[in-house]
Amino acid sequence: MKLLIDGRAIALEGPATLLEAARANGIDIPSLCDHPWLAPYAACRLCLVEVKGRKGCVPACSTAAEEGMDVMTSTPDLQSLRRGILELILAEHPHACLICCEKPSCDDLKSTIRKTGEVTGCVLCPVNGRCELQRVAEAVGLDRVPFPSHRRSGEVRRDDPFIDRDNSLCILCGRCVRVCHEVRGASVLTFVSRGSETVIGTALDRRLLDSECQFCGACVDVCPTGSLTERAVRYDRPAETETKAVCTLCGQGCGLCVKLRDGRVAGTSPDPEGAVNRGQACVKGRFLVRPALIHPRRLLKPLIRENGELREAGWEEALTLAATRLAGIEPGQISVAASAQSSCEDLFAVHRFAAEALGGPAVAGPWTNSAAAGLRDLGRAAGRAVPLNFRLSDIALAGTIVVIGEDLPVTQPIVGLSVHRAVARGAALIRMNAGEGLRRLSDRLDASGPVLILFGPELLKRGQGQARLAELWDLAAPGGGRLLALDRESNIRGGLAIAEAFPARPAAKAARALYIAGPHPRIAPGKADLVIVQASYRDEHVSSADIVFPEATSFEAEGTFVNIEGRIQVSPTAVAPPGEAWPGWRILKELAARLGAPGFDFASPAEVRIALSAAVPPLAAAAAGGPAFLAEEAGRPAPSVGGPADERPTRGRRLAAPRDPDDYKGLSLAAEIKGLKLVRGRRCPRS
Amino acid sequence: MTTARTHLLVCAGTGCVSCGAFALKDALVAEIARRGLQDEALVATTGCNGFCERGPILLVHPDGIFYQRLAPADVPLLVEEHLIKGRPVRTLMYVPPEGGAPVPKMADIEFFKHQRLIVLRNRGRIDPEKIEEYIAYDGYEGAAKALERMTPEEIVAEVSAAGLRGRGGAGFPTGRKWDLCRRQPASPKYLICNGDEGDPGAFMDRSVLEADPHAVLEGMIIGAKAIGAARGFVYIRDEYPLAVSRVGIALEQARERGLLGRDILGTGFDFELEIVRGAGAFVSGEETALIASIEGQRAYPRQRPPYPAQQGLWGKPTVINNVETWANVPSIIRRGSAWFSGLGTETSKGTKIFSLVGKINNTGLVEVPMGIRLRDIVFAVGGGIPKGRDFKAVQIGGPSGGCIPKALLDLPIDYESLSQAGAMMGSGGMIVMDEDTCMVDIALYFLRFTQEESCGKCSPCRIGTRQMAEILARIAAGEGSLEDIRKLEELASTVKRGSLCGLGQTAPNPVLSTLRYFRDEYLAHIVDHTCPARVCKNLIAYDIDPDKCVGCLLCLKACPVKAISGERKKVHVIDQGACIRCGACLSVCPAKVQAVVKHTGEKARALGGGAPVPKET
Repeated sequence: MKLLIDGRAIALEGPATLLEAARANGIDIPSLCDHPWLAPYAACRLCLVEVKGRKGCVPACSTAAEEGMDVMTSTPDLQSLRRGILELILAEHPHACLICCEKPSCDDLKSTIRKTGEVTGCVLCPVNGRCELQRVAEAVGLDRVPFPSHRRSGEVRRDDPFIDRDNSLCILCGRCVRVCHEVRGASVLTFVSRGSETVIGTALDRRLLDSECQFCGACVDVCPTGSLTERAVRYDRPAETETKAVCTLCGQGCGLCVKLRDGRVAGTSPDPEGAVNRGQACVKGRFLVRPALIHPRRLLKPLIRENGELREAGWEEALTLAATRLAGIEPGQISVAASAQSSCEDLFAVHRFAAEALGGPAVAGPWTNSAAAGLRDLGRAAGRAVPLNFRLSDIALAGTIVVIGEDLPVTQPIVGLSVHRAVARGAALIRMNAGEGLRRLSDRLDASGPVLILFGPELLKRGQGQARLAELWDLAAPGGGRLLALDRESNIRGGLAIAEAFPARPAAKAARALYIAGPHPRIAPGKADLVIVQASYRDEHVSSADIVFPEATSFEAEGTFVNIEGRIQVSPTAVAPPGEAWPGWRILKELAARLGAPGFDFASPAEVRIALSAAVPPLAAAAAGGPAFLAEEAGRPAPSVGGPADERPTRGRRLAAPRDPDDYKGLSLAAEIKGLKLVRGRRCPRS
Repeated sequence: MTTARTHLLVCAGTGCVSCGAFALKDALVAEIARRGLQDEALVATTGCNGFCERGPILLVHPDGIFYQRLAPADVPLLVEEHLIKGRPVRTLMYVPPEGGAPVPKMADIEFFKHQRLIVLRNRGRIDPEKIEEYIAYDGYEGAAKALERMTPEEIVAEVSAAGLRGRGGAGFPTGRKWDLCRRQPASPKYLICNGDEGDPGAFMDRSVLEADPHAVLEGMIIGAKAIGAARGFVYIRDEYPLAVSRVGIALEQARERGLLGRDILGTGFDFELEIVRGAGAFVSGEETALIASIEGQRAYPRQRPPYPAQQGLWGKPTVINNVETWANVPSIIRRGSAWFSGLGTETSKGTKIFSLVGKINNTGLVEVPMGIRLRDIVFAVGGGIPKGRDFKAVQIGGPSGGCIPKALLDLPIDYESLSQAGAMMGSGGMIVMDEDTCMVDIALYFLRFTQEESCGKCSPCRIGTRQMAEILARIAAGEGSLEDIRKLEELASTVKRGSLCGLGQTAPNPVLSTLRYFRDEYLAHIVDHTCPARVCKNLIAYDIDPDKCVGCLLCLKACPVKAISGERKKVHVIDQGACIRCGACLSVCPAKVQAVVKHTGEKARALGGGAPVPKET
């Protein structure tokens, strides 16, 4: 399609609004209420343009580009109209700095700062320098507002965790209301009253905590001014740099933008280009990464138990001690446990370490009883291929969705968004508890369209887990439907693939030594007289350990994670680890060196990946870089004696998946971070 | 079947009801029974007659005698003289404002003489709660013809040829809208009747819904066949409970007779209608906001295109028309487009209902052919200005419209002439003003209305109307400057061009129109601190003429702030410092005395007034 904008010939591939067409070609039309995630709203009226042959002006954001259109975006008439509209918007928004004669010198001399409890101008505003209204005012060129100001009333609302609401800065663009309604499906924020009395608020003016707010932060992300802000970082100086990372607080693997200042994480926000989340986040990835990384429970130095107490030690001392003591124990007497929240590099290192350095004990991990494992075993038991991989966007296209035992906004919020999209398009949604009988389900499913059944590890916890999965498969498969395994940890799929690659060994019955790499649900030391723990946070294992190695988190160490979709994502190092924490693979490399084990001379995570790809073919794509999914297995017969079947939990030792969906490497976010505690602890019923 | 020799039709329109029409009816029934005439004289109630100024109204047929301002106390005389002795009672008849003999017949009264009734054709002759009476006057003939003998294309062609234009205000050609919707491939399609009449002082749609609801229903049935809709909605503002009730009754009765529902009249055509009650805001009369309201959303307008005819209710093709528009359709189909287009002007066909209110002798509802001169409406139909005052202007189109000054009295009333003159047909509200009306005050009144009713979605309207209202308020308070007029005009331009919907786009019209024709009044307020009409409180002073005052103490007692002092038979004096300029003294001073006068400008200031009204203590 071809059209003219400001006399320039523009070629378009597909349908687009005039605003999209202009911006894609470097023509800037100001707008405040438009947003790429949201349906056009045409309320701010800043994007009005003239189209030849049409009376008056039209909003570029909601006018479809048509073949042969002749559009003018910046005639003198339009410029004066735009200025007039902006003057009106500013008459309702504190703009003292805009018209202040001291502005050029203010940054240095701060000569006009007064102590006020309110924002009167840009300088006192939390988003100074990051404000879209500021940018528009600069683009339009405004240095006076010829109208009396009307300040919107209301104190700053501070009665909720994470988010502050300042009504005086709101320009009623409606983005927050729309994102909450259209994208998140929560509809917590709405317009209250009418005309100039309009304010953004909740039903009955309740706190966000008492509404159905999930604190995903989308409203904060779309707010063009400082009206909705993240309280923790509100008055911080702007970030110096920004880098991308993969969130590892749950199994979805959202893309995050990590803001950095002075070498520390200043905050996180969702990556609009994140393959999984497309600019959306949940309360954890949005608000809890920073507090988690700097939490007082972080382990900063190696620890050694002496005279019953743990004392700090240097790496050399701790590593040497560990190697010495491990060398003195037979292989069959050592148990190794790993975490599914560790990267593929770290997990590979653990498995190789167990195999090469410790004489081959099996590595126990939560992937054994995961939903993904259950689905994989289903296929193997039947001798056919059950696909494990999927894309979140597929969920949005389903005709019928069944969710079993998962509280999606808590455990899988981004999956929840896809479900919401599907329901908005007319899909039927059936929710069930994990323990409910399945007979009624088959009645409720009609023959129209494929069914997607979403389930988590809860389904497999009770007895008959595999049998129930088989039943579900029989319900879904004939109609072309699927089962989707939703696990909670960030690297269940990776852990499963790596565990498969190492020959199965029987688990030690009564271990004399425990090596716990990464946190794990409580393992009682039992008869073990050597407990070595590799962890990021002080938890219960640390309190019973003899030697503790501080481990870097995924944000501080480059690592590969495979999410519930089977998508392989490499998360770069965003920030240096605190104290003397090391990446997990490096700890094991050094330990292996002192035990004289070969095959550990990695100089970087990339080198680990090369070895990993060679040893674990489904992860081969990890080394190549670029978007890739875990290779699916073709139908395989059930393996012979040994193997995962033997890793069924024995009595007294619970290897079940962590019950706490808010656990991060041993830190219980909901217990340790007040904001999340408030969010999780409320009892308002969910729809 | 008994046939009565006389019918007494009591007007039961809202105006007459509020003046005691039902008490009058009961008195009539009782007296007629007492005199033993119940088999000869039938008493019935009808919908509004339109001459609301004169209620309670009674029409006696077959003579067509028009009685007005009746009270139950008049009934015995009326029954005795008119029914028994055959002598209509002249003292109860209408006398023209200029005096002279009473006019016995409705058809001879100036107010009614110049009207041409299409939409109001059943005025004063049917009980709106009896479908059989509507049917008796060719009711549902048009629907039967459309359903049984016409194709959708033919119906649309007839409506187009008739030249019917939307009566809600914009005047968009109805046939074109229907055709656009008819050709849309999507389904299902919907029909909506916009009964959210919101202009202050407008009651045309209310009257039609209360007095002749079946006209609207029949129109919608025809429209449904034209576009292919099976479902329609009558959206009535919640502040019209009688209209809601009467339309509800009409729907039930229509269903009972098979005129709504499945297989209407055995033609296989299905159409069902339901009532939706308004959300309580002026803006929900805007078509896209109304649609949002039916969908259960906040009544926020939406950007057009796409237009409702393409994507309306629930995203489906929807025809939404005004009450009066729908009510025109049955007559067009029944009598043909040529008949309809024979009335009116080249571009504005048919008739228009106006609510004639304000400083006019004959207040009420009138239906006149398009193209009639404004002068004829005001002076012939309306009977001129009361109390011998001078005509000043007519405000047409409510808060979206403008005023027409004396110099343009010969303007023909049609869509084009009005918009060229800076006004707008609007929904038909006509507010007549005399020399005692301040045009600045009028502009302020309408701006305040629009400001309050603005939905708040778009910046120009939400913020711009407020700024304009504030500037006007300052001018009216004598605190304006010449710069303010420039600001007003600039703001008007921004709001007009920038707003999302018709409310904002037309909100500046009253200001622009009064500035155009009455700029001198603005300048008087600003430069001379004078309100020529003596309305704006800060610029006037009340005074008691010592030569006329008879010392009757009436104004003294009426003053709410005890600002008047005096004794019986002694001249009363107003304390200017305490006077809040409410006008109570002026209204109680006997007509024979007329001692209270208002001053403005220098004279007011000399008296000690012409200053800001004192705040309440």
